[in-house]
Amino acid sequence: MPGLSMRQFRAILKKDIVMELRTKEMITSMGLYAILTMVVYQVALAEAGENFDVRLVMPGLIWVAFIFMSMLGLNRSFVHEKDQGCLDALLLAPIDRPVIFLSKSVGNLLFLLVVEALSLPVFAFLFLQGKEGIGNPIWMIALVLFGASIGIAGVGTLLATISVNTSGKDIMLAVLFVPLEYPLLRAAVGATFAAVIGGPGTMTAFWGWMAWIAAFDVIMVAVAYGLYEFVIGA
Amino acid sequence: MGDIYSQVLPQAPYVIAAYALIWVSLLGFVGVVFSRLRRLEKELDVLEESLKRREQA
Amino acid sequence: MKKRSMLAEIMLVLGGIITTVALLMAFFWAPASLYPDGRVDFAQKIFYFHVPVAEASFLVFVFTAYYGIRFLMTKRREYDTKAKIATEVTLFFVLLTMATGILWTRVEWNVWWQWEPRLTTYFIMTLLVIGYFVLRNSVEDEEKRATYAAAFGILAFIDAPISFLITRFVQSTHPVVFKSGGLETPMLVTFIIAQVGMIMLGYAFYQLRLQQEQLRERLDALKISVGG
Repeated sequence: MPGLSMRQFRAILKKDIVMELRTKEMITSMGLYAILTMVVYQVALAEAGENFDVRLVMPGLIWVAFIFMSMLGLNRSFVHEKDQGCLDALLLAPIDRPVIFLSKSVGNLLFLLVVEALSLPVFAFLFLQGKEGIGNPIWMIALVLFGASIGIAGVGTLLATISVNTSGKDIMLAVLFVPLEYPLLRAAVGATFAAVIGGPGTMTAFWGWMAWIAAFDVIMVAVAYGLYEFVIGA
Repeated sequence: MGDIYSQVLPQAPYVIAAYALIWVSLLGFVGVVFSRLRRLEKELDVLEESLKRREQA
Repeated sequence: MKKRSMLAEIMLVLGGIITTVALLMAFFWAPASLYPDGRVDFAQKIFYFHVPVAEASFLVFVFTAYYGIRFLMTKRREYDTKAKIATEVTLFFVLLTMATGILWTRVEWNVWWQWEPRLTTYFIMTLLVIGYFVLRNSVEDEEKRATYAAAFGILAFIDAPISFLITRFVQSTHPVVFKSGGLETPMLVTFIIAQVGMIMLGYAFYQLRLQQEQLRERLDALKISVGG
């Protein structure tokens, strides 16, 4: 019944979005977290000097911010469900488990993209003014953000479902999430770097890294999708 | 000959450390597992003994 | 009542003998490896055991994923135990690989650590295996613990090769053993013997730990039935 599944998918997604629009909890906490990270970056780079080319470390910095921010968001999105008994209710309802996975990860993906899109200009505003601009067109950065966020949200949804049921919760998510996301993160930094620096040869590097991101997304999200049914039923 | 020693000696501690580490770890693993196995088997024997006595009583 | 299978012990003894033979061969038979300038590369001897241990760790890790899948399919507890033991042996070999690798790196590259692709991948794999046990320890419910561990084990098993390949995407300075064909026959033979012995040891370790675990489980069940 694809029609019914679609309706269920939309209903769960809508519930998450409506709740977020009402409380604005995820977006504000994730956004604040990103901005606080940038304050820490200012301190971290304080002694690096005026002539230091921020663009060299910028890809790394933004992905550090995003990876930690996404963990915060992923954890939140399930702590809520669990605390309010929503997850149990979802499981009791006659909804296909894959539909729960898809709707939750699409929701997480949306929130992630919104916060990333909001915090990236802030980063540029704080760190890149008066410096050399971005070497390649801006859509390339958008593409990296989109591609890598799929992997983060997909695998993260599975891991967050696991970690809310453990006694460690947020630290447990980090322990499982960071090493698993390592390849994705590496490729995201590589692609972002190619997009930021620009110049000859960077296009080839960019598409090379994007292929890795795509491969990670396809393989890991498919595996997470397959495993979700078991994990949520346990 | 002395030439070879002068080349080998600086590296020797690391090579010896690596091999010692492997051997000690392997033996340690086997030792721990066997001692635990023996303890468990002893426990099992005691338990079976007491079970038998209980049945007889 | 038969308490142990003999196969594990036979493999243990055989593996012990074979690895000892390989050790002797490595030092007394295999020719010294030379640097391009003709000096003796004594640290190359580490290779004879570093690589077999590393290969064994990957091999045992396969069983983590395999028994993880079997567990998810059947929900039988024995597969969870098997997956757990396999991961334990993986952790043991992974730590040994890391330690010997670091010693080798110190000699050849003059640093204890370098973010070189294989080292990076191996570091990630170590973290994944440690994460597996951290996860197990923080779940109370037995079935949940087994399911989560199985899921994470499968994910980690698929993730490790991706990390490996992606780090190879950048230029590597780690020696690739079989590509250059630079290995003389006695070296290769020594290496293969060490590899065979190490795999046998890996099997024996796995079996012995499994027997111990199964004995403990049976004992616990017996205690409950006696006590209750």
